[in-house]
Amino acid sequence: MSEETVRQLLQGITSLTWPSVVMMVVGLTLIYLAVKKEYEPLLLLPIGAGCLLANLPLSPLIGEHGLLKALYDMGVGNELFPLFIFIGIGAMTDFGPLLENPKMVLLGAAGQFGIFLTLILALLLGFDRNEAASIGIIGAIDGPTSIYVSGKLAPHLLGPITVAAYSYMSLVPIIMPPVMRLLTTKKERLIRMPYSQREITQRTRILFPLIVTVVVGTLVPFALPLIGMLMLGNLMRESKVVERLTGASQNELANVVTLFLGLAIGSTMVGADFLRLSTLAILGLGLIAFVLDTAVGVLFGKLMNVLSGGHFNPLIGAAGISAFPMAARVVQKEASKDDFENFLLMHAMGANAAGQVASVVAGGVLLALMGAG
Amino acid sequence: MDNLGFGLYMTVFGMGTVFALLSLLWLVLWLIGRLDRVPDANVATASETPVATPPRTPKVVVDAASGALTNDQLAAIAIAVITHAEVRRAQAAPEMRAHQPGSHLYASRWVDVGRGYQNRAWRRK
Repeated sequence: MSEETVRQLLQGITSLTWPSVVMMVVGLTLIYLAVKKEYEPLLLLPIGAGCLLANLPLSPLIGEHGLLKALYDMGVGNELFPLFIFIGIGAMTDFGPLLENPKMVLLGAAGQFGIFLTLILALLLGFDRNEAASIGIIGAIDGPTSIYVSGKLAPHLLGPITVAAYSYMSLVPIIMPPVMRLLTTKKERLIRMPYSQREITQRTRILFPLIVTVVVGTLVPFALPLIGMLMLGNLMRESKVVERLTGASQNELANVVTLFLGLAIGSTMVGADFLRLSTLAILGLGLIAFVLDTAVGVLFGKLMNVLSGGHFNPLIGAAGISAFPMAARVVQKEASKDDFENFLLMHAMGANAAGQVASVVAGGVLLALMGAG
Repeated sequence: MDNLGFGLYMTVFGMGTVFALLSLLWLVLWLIGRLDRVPDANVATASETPVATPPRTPKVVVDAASGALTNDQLAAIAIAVITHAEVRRAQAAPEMRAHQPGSHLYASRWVDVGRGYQNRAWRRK
């Protein structure tokens, strides 16, 4: 056997580098978190697999015609996949609690403060403006919005931003409660809010996605792709005339695109590009964004409590973020810790649904202010 | 300092725009809610003349005369059909009993587990 043949046979081993080994460990850790801890497994498992496959030595998958590269070019580079995911999310989301209590929209707006406060912090840490805006969007606590906005403003940061967004989203039940308890008194947490379900006509449910699309699309054209797809999914759901399309959007489309998106994002986590100090900074800032969103949401809830004469439970403010429906569940759980019979879930669901719309609007506003299109 | 100014500008204008847009949305949703209300059922029925309360258990009428069957014969047939379904359910193999006229799925699973346990050649100590 010639020396050349031996070299060719062993080129996989000889091409191993320490950054690629570290990233393979990161990929395996993500897979472990998905499988063992069930942290956002639908996303973290494909991302971990994509990371592992991209970092194996001489991986043909990220070569010129490699599968992972093709997936990236096909759906992430042109923001196609996040928009498809939004159709699925729209088809899965019931905006009924929001329609019953429209003032909850304001809590959704308050839950976006973290985006801009994190943007300032990122600027102070030395990131350029586009990068800072992309890092700030982690505060939308909305994976597809984060991917869409950072894909337009700073595609080279897509990997760490996506990992931060989805990892912290799975940690919402751990991140939010201490902030909520710190900023509220027991008396405030004990406030009960009566809930009387108001029947929403199908006409209203159909009008909602149409009006939101027209209003937001006209006022913030940059948000149109995001809000348009979200509301298209919801229109199909509420119209009840395209059950097959609704079902396909909720299941087949969402599942297939989630797999492709996860693999493509994972493939961006190549050691040489990912293992930088800036990645650590992004992960830290992402955590801060989540905390700030929760804190400002609760503080806005306190303001509504004052305005309502003490009849509004400030914990609901924390549900104004976009992590749907996890944030609403966390609010209910925290409220029932102090009073087991305090049922805030439906109010919190209204705020949480508002957060879903608000995060998309905030993403569009951010793109508009940055002049990206 | 320049960056801080930019950040503050983004925060003020960004959050201002988000709040303005969502406030507009709130207004629109509130208007839709006002204009497209479900009529209150209580109000609608209150204006109508009172209707007699329907009987708690509706009377089942079987036209036995047309088919030349007595009520007793019809009852016997109904019982026979139910019994037949029960017999078929009991005779069917567990995996066949997932659907009508099979048994409840959980029952099949229990039977399945029980059989598997009985047929196992070894026992965990």
